Amino acid sequence: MVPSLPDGSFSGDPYTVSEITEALRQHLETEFPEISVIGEIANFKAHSSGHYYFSLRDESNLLRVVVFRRYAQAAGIEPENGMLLIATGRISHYGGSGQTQLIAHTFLEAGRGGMEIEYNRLLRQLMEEGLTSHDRKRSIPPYPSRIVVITSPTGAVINDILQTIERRWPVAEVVHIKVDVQGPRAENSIISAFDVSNRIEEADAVILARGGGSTEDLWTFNLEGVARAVSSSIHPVITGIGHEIDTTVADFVSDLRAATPTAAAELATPSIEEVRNLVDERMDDLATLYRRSSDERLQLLQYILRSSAFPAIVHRLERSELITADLSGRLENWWDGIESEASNRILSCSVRLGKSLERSLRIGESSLAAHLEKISRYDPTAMISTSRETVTRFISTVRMGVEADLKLKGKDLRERTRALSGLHPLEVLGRGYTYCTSPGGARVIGRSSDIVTGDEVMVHFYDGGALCTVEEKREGVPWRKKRASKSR
Amino acid sequence: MAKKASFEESIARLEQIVRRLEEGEVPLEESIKLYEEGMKLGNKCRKILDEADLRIKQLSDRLEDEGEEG
Repeated sequence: MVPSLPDGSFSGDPYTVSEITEALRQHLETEFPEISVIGEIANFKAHSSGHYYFSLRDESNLLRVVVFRRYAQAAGIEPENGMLLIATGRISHYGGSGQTQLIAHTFLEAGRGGMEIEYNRLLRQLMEEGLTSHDRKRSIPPYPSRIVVITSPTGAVINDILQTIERRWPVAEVVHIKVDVQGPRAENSIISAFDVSNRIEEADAVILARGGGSTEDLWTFNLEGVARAVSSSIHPVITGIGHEIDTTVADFVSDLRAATPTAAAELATPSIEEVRNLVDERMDDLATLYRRSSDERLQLLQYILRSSAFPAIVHRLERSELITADLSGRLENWWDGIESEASNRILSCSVRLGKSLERSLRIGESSLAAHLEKISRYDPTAMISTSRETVTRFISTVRMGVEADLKLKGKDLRERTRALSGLHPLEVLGRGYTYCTSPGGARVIGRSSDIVTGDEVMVHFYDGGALCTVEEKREGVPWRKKRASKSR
Repeated sequence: MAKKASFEESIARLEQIVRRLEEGEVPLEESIKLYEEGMKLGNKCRKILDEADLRIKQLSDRLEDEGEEG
């Protein structure tokens, strides 16, 4: 790109040095009025006038930087060689030295080469030792009773932390261990503070805090001694060092890293209002649950007492005795009927037996008479004795016959009786038959015409009963019809 | 100290009681006991919260210095 000159003219006439210098200056200042450049400081010189002169460089190039006194004083940091710096300003060309340079008005430390290397070395070593592992991180008790705060006794940090804890969780006790957080004594001071903290019993959390500052100000927290003191703390450690953007080695090995000291105090404590609400809610839950369970129990009891089932149960219990009495009475009657029928049969058998005996006797008598008649015609004595024997024999034969017949009849009777016993209702129920009664059991339902749909019936089994509701009625006797049609 | 140490235990036990009752199937007698215990714990927690007053103790990292000061 060929830069056009301010007056827009271009000719073969040569520029004077001043002309081209001015043209370059104007062009660069127009093109780069406000830029930031990052580089490592080299050739730093703080001039007696108060201005800073140095170079920013990277691996292969170098840019001159000038910081005028008023900006140098306002920067708040002392640049030195090796510091990684972000400088912001305009690019210009200075004819006096023939150099293009950055006229910076603000500059920010971006780190330091050597410090960066040390930071990375320590962090890598601690990582390899497993001290930064997530598994090592302990949780902070939700309702701490004692919090140790390790920070400077001066400055806003301790007040911010105390105010935060007082506002959020005044239930806790705070133990403030005063330390130097900066300067040559800081590392040992913090190591000692952790020794003290480790001897405090029942501390729930340790807050290690420091307010914002430069990388150098925070450097203490990148030192190995501090990092090891944090990682070996008996109590869980929350670090709140510098600002959000600052992450120190101590932050990596602590149990919880907070962005700022105030954030650390917040992470260490629950909000008392939330806890109060939680307690209230739990007590409400408790009361509700308890009331509900009591109510449920009461309702169940009242339901049982009030329900139609309850008197029915009592009624059924009362009725069951009557039913038992009634059934046994009817059973007796039924059995009596069977017995009388059996004895009638026995009687009729005896009558028939008697008649047949009589007949036999009558036959015997008539034979006897015939014999006697014959005998009377012959030797009466001999004939009589012979005839007597014959008669005796005959009678005994008849008697034996009758007795055998009676024995046979008796056996038959016993068998019949046994068969009859199969008709005993309980025996029948044992074979899978059931019978129905009215729910109370007072009335036996023998026919489907005795009930209508919706009626309750009690079905009796061999070993118990079931109260059933009639859903549907079917007329007729299906199984009998089937059998009848088959035989047809 | 003992009072404060038990806050966490108290609220943990209270939560446990509520969960137990929520699950149901708690016999009547036990539920009465749980209710009474829970209410006692809740009131204790409330009392701790209501009476809370931040206490601050200052120590030096140099124990020997503190000893000399004390």
